[in-house]
Amino acid sequence: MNDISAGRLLRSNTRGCVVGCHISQPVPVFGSMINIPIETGRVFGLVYDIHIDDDGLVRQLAAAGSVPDEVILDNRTNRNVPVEMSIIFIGYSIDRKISHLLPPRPPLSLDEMYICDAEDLRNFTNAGHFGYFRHILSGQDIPAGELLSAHLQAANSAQRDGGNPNWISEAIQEIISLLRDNHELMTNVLSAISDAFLASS
Amino acid sequence: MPINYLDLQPQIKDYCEQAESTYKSRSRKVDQVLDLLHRCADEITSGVFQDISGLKSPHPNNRCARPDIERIDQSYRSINEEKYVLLASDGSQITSNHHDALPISLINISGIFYQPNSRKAPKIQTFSEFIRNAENDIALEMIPEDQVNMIRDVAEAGMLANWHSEGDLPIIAISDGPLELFHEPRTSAKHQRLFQEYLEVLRKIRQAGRIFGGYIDKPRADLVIRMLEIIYGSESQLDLASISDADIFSHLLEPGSRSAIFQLNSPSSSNYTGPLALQFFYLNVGLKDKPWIVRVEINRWTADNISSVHLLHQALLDQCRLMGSQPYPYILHRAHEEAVVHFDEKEKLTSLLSFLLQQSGVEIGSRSYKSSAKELQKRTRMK
Repeated sequence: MNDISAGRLLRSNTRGCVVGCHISQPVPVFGSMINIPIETGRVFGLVYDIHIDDDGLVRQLAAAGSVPDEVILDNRTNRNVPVEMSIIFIGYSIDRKISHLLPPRPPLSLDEMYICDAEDLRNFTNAGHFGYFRHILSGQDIPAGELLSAHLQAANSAQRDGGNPNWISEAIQEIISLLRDNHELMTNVLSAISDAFLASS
Repeated sequence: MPINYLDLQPQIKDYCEQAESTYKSRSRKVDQVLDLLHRCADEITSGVFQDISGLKSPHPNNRCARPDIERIDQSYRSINEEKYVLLASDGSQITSNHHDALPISLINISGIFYQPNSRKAPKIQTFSEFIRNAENDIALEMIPEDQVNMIRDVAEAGMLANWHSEGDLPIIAISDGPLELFHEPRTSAKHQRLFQEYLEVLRKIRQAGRIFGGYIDKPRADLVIRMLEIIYGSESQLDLASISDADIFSHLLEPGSRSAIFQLNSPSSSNYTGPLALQFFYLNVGLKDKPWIVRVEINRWTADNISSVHLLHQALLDQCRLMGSQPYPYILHRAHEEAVVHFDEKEKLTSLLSFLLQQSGVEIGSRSYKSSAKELQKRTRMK
């Protein structure tokens, strides 16, 4: 289990949360699976948005043209401009038992977030039967296709390393089954997955 | 919308008419001053004025410029290719009045060390300190705002004097505002002690071999105009009101060039003696067709070394260019960002202190009802 903090929770609700981190911390990439330890276990989620706010100075510097390295470093390391990540919750664990349901209660302000390693990914994706896909597919304002394809790439890699090369086809079958009544979304999702796997092959 | 626009409508018309008239007369006055400036420069060169360096304002409270060794109607470009490092400081404060629940007097000082072309992030230091009394206890009584401001000014200069820096590049220290303490001269023992402390800090900056400049953005001063009024005022009825030195030098200085260095003559300038004597120049940090005149105060120890002046001149231009179309030294802006204490921070500190005092059983006062009433609507302005 990775023990390097990737940020602290700013605000949360039952379905997700926003985490802030400094640029010097390891910033998870889009689609990364993360976990947030809570008193009873861990809450799992996927990063579906990463945003970096601007301010007046940044806008002025950007318009000024040439910006020296020292000023860029100053803005990235000294100024209090956090990277904010939006997380959708996809499950939780209590006493190491993983559930793909939403967590009983959201984590609290300033709880620390960690990036899941390959073992975490394998453990989470092996538990249950892809129940967490429905949180992704039903999420509001979430780029479901892009998020699923990023997640499937990472999970597939972890599963293959763990000796389970068939995991990906089972996952795609499940997505097709879940979206059988939503042809438009299914086309979107499968198209994104296909793009991602074509690019990586 | 508490403003009665119906009442204001005719007054707005008057305002615009008066402003238009002032604007039209301004260009005539500027031309007049430019003529006088050239004439004065010629007369100094030809030796008509023998004791110009002893020029004093006839009014003891007035301030004016005095020519130094450079020709006063010329502009000067920076000639510098030397590398340098920059140091800047700024400060902010919390002051209280009798409407507050707790008297809090605190200063927050930041320093920033910037090495151009180093590919390193600037180093930043910040310290926050309650104001202390003569017995070195935290002052629990109300401290007058001007006293807190003066303590802050001394601490800002102290940050520049005490910053430990390795390396052999010349260090240019910049502060926001004039080097002449605005709060001087004051006669109270407390002010005098602070002022002596300030002079000691200036000596320390000099001993550390630092080039020191105070950057005054959008200056309102009319020091050079006052000088010309004093010299030529008896000859004719001069009316040079409502124009400033910046109006004059925006016509005289090309972008990137500075004025001659002048000596500063003010009620308190006699307290800055020898190498600490106050001098200044104007600098156009603006762009072509968009001049922006600032005033830079320096001490004699910097003015006497022309390569130091060139370095300071170049450094300020380099810093201002970083900010694009609204030129202002980046390092000063950053020092301000690191130092500024916002209103809600005072509220947080008050709450924290109140909580801890109540836990200890200390009965604390409450905010005045007048102040509380004003807070009923969310505060959107500072005063």
